[in-house]
Amino acid sequence: MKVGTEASGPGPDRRAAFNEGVRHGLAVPSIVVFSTMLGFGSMAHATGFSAFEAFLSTLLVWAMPGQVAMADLSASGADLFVILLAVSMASVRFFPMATILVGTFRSATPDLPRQLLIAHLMSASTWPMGMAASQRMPVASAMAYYWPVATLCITFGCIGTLAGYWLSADMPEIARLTLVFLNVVFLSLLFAQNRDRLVILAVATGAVLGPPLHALEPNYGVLLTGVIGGTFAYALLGRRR
Amino acid sequence: MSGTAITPLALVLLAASVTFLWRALGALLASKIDTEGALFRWIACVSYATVAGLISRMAVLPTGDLAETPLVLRLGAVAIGFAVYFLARRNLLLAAAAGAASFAGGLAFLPL
Repeated sequence: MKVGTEASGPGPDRRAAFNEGVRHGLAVPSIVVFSTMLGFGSMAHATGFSAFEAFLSTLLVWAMPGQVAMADLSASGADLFVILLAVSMASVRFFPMATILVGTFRSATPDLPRQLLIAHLMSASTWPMGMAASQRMPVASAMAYYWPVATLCITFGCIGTLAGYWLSADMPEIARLTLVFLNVVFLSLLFAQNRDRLVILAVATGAVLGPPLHALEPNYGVLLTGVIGGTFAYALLGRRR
Repeated sequence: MSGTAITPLALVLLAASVTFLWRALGALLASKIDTEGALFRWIACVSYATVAGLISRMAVLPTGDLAETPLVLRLGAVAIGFAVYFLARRNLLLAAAAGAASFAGGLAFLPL
């Protein structure tokens, strides 16, 4: 598995990688993230947040499930502790994800502030894109690719939040549902980029376990899926190199 | 203490803090860990499985408005996206558009 190793062989130089990142960030991910946050914006409107607060939560929380938990629970009048626990549990996945992404980019970005920025800009869209880039190009190039992708995604996310806050009630039902569904298709397709057997096994196991474990245990289903599925894949293919 | 006892702005900032905590912990661990080692590979497996599980849950058991749409239509549209992806030489843009278009078409024309 080529996680965290210097990708060998030829690949685009940093400028070419940066340009590719701009293209990728402007193409599907921007539309996808825009539409995700369109949904959150309309929800924030319905649950009594101001446009500025909605915008700020996309910029600073930058995690759809956590943002939804926050808006949904506060509207239902839940305890502050319960809300924060739910938001926090919805984002535990960032712990292993940040470890891997920042670790992979470590040689290109040794200083802590930028490492924290990499971790903050990370999402379900940018993580797989950054990881896929690190598998097909040298780390410095993958880093140059990640910055525009991640920055464009969060920018479109903020614009989408505001658009959703003001507009989504006026959109036709089919258009709104299709925009939400675009996320599902796009995020699923990001996994098709992987060619490493161990990664494919971990992804397949997670995809199979995710829905039933969520049905069984809505709060911890995602975590259980990761630990059980990831450990299974590692035990089967990960120990020998 | 009820969540309504603090201002929405304070709630947003607190939510941002508890989310950032996990990201920061990950970034800090990343600088301590051997990226060639077994532990790193295991955590990578856990991450891939976690994100895949999250996304497959969004497709199979969505929350919100998507929950009202038929499972067969959602899975069928994802399958079409994958088929187009591999037929069109791994073109992500085309594949995502094809998946979304089949979904919209299904919603518009199927008797649901």
